Amino acid sequence: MNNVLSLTQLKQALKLMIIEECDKDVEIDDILDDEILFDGALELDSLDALQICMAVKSNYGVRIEGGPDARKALQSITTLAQTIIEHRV
Amino acid sequence: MTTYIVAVGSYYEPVGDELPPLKKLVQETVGSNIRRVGRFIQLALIGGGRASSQLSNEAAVYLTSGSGDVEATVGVLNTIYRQAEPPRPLSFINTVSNAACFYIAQSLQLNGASSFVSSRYFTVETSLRVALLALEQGQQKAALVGAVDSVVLPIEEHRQRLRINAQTDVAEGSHWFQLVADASDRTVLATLDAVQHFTDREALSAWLAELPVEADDCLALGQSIESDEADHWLVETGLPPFNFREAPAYFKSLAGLVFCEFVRRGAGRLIYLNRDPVGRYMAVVISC
Repeated sequence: MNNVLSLTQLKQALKLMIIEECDKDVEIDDILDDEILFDGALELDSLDALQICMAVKSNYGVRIEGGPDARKALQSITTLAQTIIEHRV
Repeated sequence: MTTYIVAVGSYYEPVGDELPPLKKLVQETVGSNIRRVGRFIQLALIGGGRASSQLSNEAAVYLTSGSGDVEATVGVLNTIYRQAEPPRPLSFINTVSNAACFYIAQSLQLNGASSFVSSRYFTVETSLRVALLALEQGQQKAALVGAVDSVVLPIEEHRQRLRINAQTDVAEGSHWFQLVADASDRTVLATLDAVQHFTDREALSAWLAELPVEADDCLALGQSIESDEADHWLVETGLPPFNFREAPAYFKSLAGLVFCEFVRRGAGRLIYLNRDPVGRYMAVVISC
């Protein structure tokens, strides 16, 4: 099912995933596509990053490695979606 | 040296097939939304927060539980064995017994030591004893001592885990005591006079025989004492039972509820006895 998601649908699904996995009291529409996920208004931290990476692996089969790759992938919803699309088999 | 109880905080709720939501209650109690926590930590925050009036930020935290954070543990085990996946980091972290202490310390801005006190049969009694010793020896000036037990649905599985029959009502409980060594600027609710351990029944009888009995003393007996033995202690001490409510629903740290209710009643002296299956005893004495 994930293979047929459009980019817009994928971004919406990622926002919902972050809200659920990180237990954030925000709505999907409160998270902008290009909003900075860490050190921004969402106030996510390193534990959230680990949680998101595990959820991405579980839901989309994409492993986000630590270090520079993770920092790049987790910049925003847009970069996270692009990472998933690029690495999904 | 006297140890004073200057605040108590409690949450007690019998549970059926649904669990009441706690998130809003946590927010109301500690003043902020605490995310990434399950019911066990939420219950700890509610009870601890309710006992935190004028709490010193140097206070130590002593938390105990009859069953621990079963929700977190069951969740992680299900993920590993049923879903064959590694557990989520946030779930795994909360299986650490002291995780609830971390959230309490963070929410109440406490800088003191925090400990999870584990004792299979004397949960509340042992945590009070550890705190009492720390206060008496001057290691701590104030302590927040609590006992938390949550329910994990389905209720039938929860009863199986507790090894109780299908007719027994169950509850969630979080009961906390703020203890201080110096109460000169505080309103004292009660004093924690003794938390004693006894190797056998004879040792407890000898100790009770030496205890001066007062007119307003009453006796409470722990969950592990069967009715036959309860009758024995009522006769031996000659004390009236402390009847605080009609048959409270079951949870392992019920002693916390008993102590909180007694302190809230605010009169007399409570002598509480409990035993383990080996035949060792503990006694707790609280005066109002």
